[in-house]
Parts: sequence; C-alpha cells; structure tokens
Amino acid sequence: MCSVEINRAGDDGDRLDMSLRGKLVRGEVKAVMERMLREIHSSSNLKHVTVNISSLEWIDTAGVALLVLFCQRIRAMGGTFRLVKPNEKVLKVFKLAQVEGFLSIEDGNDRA
Amino acid sequence: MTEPDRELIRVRGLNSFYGRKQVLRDLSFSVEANRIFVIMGMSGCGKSTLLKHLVGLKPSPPGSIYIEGKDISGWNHAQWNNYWLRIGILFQNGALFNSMTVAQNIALPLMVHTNLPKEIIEIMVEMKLHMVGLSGTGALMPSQLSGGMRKRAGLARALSMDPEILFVDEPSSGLDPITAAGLDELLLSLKETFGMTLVVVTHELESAFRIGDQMVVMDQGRIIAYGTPEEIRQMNDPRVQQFLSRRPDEEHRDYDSYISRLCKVKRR
Repeated sequence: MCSVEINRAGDDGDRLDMSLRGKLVRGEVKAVMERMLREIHSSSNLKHVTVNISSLEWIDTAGVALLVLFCQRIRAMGGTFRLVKPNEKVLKVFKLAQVEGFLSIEDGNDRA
Repeated sequence: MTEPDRELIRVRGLNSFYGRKQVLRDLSFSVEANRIFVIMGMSGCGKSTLLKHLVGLKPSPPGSIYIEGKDISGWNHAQWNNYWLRIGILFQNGALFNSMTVAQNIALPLMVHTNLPKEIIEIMVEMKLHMVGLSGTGALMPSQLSGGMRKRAGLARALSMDPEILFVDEPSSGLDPITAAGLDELLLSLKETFGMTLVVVTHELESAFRIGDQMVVMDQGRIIAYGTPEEIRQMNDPRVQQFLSRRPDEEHRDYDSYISRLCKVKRR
C-alpha cells in the first residue's frame, strides 16, 4: 500500500509538497501516478515540487520509473523537482538504477 | 524483499531421466533466501536439467522439490502461474523472440502481466538495459546483437518484473572478462539491493567463487560437493580437486574403442 499526501504552499500556490508513505511497488504505481499527475496538471503556476519519501519503506523499479516520469513532467513544465530523505534501502535501489543524480535526491527537506 | 536465511527451495532425492537415460541421481540440497546458490560442474553433468526442474519446465517426482515448503509436483495451473510471476529466468542462449525488438522483448512480461502504463514500462525497459550494459540497443532486433549481447538482453528481460528468485544459466559464457566481471557485480548488487535469491548455473570457476554463498559441484548427474566456497575449496575429493584445478580427464579417451571404431569405417 502506498499513500500520497499533498500540500499546496507558496505565495500563489506555486509550491507543491508531496509525501509518499508505505511501499511504492508495481501494483500501486498506476493509482499513485494518476493522483500525482492530476495534481500537477490542475495547477497552472506550479514552480517547485518536493517529494518527501522519508516514510517510504520500499520501492521497486516500477516505483523508480514513476518518480523519473514525474520529475520529467515537472521539468518539462519549467518547474524544479526535489526528492528528499530516502531511507537506506530505497537509496540503494536508486543507485542500482543510476538515477540518484537525475532525481536530485537530498538528505534533508528544509527549504530555504 | 524476501526474509534472509529462510529456506526457499528444498531438493530431496531428485532423480531425472530423458527416456531411459538417467541424468540426475539422488540430488539433495537447500537454497536459502537472499543468497546466491551456484551450481557448477562439467558440460553435460545435468546442471541445466536441474534448472529446468527448479523452474517447472520439467516435471519433478513427488517429494523431490519443495518451494517455500510446498511440494511442487502437486501444483495446479494457478500455483505455477503464481510462481512464474515471482521468478526470472535467463536461458543459456538468451531465448529472445526474434520477431521483436530488444525493447519489446524486455517489455513483454510487463505488458502481459501488469497494469503499468506504457510510459512507465518504457522507462523500466531503459533502466534494465542500462543495468546490463546495453543502453541504446532497445530498437535493435536480436539478430543484430552478438551472442554476449543477446545473453545480457535476456538477463534484462529476466529482470523486467523485479523477480524474487532469479535463475541464471551460464551468465558469463560468451562474454569477455570485463563484461563478465560487470555481470558478476550486477548479480551481487541484485542480491544486496532487492534481497533477491539467485540460482546460477556456471562452469566459470572464478565467477562462481566470486559470487556464490553456497554451491554444489556436479559430476555425471550426482552432487559430489556441497557447501560454502571455502568448504568446497578445502574438500579432498579427487574429482572436486580435479575440477577446481582444471585438470583434464586422463582415462576418458578410450583408445581401444577409438581404434575399433576407426577400423569399422567401410572403404568406399
């Protein structure tokens, strides 16, 4: 099971903070993808997206592919994408897929 | 991820035949979860046949193979399907579909068995190709690949569903030493990252000792050694030592029968 929490922030709602919780695996990806993409498509002035995965216990390569797709879409819209606080196990999967640089992974979630 | 140290596969007294010819004789061993189990032995000793039994491509006698404690000989169609969705298989020749591109071959299990959107599958295919060192080859047909590349494409397909258990038949054969070492690293990373269990058939000694947690050495359908790499190295069995030191058989060239066969050739 993977749940998604979404918070709009920023002066004019240009910031989106998402949290993923649970396991982002093959059987969950379609539903999570629809939820995440619906959120970014419903906003015309989205500039900064942060996805907090500190409560994400596990991810498989389908989950990684979803984050790659999401990151691509946001950057294509001219926005910035940050992925913060992966646990050690999840980070290993990003490293095996060699996407940790592309996904702009950060340890902390404090934003200046 | 599977729980480490748990017995995943148990083989007890497995015998196997092709017609009347017995190819496996009383095999017994266990494969623990999150380990690399290596099956070694000379060509024709029954390694690939054993693998066929473990993946269900050859029926097994009752009471001889258990997966997670369940005797596979009594499995129904649904149980086999469930098992096949949890495992990945790399066959000796890669076994790609020649009428499909490399990318289509890798995407096929995901298209058939999951509800994943097309764009997710395309990203996963690129990821798996990159993992096996074949980035940028997705549009090629299998006939355009070398033998070693076909094998790696086959591995990418075996990995497409993130299997819990990966069965690999001769992963390094046909590969140059650098690519083979890279493949060993990948197998170790899969175990470490995904908690994957791997059953690897090989006769490449260096690779076997590099990646194996447990191993068996087979000879003429029998297990002649079973243990950790260190235990295998220390075994005094002459046949095991001959295999490990790569000494050729001296007695296998039956000179008298060779001459007798030569003399039977009729003159034209």
